[in-house]
Amino acid sequence: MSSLLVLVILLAAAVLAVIVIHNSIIGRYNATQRAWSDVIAQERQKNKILPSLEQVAAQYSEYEKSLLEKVTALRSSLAALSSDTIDTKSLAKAEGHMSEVVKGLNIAVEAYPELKANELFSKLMHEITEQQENIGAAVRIFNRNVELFNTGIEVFPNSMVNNMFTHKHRLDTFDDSEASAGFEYKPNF
Amino acid sequence: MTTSNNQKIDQLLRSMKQSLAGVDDETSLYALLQPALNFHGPIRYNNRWPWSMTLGGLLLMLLLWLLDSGQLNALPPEMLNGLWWLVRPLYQLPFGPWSPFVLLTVIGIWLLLSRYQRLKGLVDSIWHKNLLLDNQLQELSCQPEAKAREFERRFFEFNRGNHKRSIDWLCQGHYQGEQHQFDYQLFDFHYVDKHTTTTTDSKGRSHTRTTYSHYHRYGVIMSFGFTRDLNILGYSNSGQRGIKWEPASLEFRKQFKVLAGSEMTAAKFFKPAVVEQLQQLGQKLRKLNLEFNSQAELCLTVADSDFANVPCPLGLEDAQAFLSLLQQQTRLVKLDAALHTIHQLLVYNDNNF
Repeated sequence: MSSLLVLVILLAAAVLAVIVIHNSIIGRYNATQRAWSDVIAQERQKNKILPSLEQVAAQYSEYEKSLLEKVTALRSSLAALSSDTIDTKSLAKAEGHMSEVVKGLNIAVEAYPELKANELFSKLMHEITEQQENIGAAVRIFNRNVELFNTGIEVFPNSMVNNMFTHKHRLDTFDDSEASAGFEYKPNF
Repeated sequence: MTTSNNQKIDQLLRSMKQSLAGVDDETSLYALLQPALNFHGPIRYNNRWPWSMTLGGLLLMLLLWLLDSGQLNALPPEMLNGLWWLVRPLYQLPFGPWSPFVLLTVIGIWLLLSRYQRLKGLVDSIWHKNLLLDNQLQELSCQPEAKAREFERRFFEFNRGNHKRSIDWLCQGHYQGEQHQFDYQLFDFHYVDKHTTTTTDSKGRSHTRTTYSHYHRYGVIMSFGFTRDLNILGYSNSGQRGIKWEPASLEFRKQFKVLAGSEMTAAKFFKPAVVEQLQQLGQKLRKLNLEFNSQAELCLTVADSDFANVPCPLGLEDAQAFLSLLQQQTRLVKLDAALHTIHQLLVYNDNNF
């Protein structure tokens, strides 16, 4: 009788552990998906600055025609982003276009120092800086969540529960290929 | 000679204490130490007499106890009789034979402690003034308990302690950041919890024991302006209410609990950079709480005692070394980190256009 009771208790504990592990994997997966949505939401915040960017670019279009083209390219890459699927390549593309726009603005400032005194330009630069900081932070939060999620499905006994019931796959972290191209060192993961 | 040295130190400490009240800038603080620098020899009391009184009193008490308990009966009878002859008059004293030795020891200890306290008290006061000057803080006078009640009406954070609440220390500061500047009040909130436990022994008699636990929370209060009705709690809740909200960061969720007036308030406030800033601050400070009240004021509190004070590593013994220490800038590093984060919260919540 007592050995049967022990067996039942052990079985109940095992079932409870499987439920807890399964739920924690789902919780981490959802948090990671939400972190990705935050990255996209922050990236789309750039739409807010596009009118001001175009206004500044139009003022100096006579001398800096390519800036307007860069703004147009940024607009279309932002439209292609999706918060439903984790697509780090589209994000990298949008980020690439943004860095082109920032380069264009820096070139305009070098050529026309009076731009610095322009109130709209100054507000625009503050906004761009904050948006870039927010995107950087969102990406770091996403990457940290991905790390916690991947660890959560790979350590034992979570890996066993995942293979039997949850069936989630490793997620890729976001990395800046442009920045990593500057390093000779490549980690041999 | 010895007495005169101690008297000179007393005079020096008295005059420095009087001058300290008038110190309002670093130059006058350094000038305050001039008499100490001119003092011949180290500023250290000669405590030979108090130590002799303390140790002598303890030894005589030990001797009396040994005699009284018969532990010295092994001594030759002549010596034992001599000792008894010496201590017998003590038994005629109204407060017992121990009283003169207890008095001697108490006076010795009192002299030692009062001298130590006089020297340390002055050093602490000078160091405190130095911290205020180095961190551009201005001390404010307040009624400790009345101020705690006033803060409690504004923030739930002060709803702690079932016995006593007081603002033991309050000062005013100003932060000048790249994009924003603000005034703030720095405080030490002291609260006491009273616990009464009743136990019953094997004979059925009940005993009541009352204990008092003292706690301190240090923090800043300032006008924030960009958000209201939001609580970010890394420490226990003291009555804060609101809708539970979680940002995407799993690490943030481990560190803090968020209670907001509405989901929109929280969603607008918790930009990724804000989440990251708070995570970093939470790693630097212990038991961090941020409460934005309905008037858009912010109360940030922590448990770190070095948030508003740094202990002085030196004494007045070597006046030159103490002066050099004062001449260095001593920043309240944890306060600076909190103010920097508050500034960043302002930057991320304002509107650039």
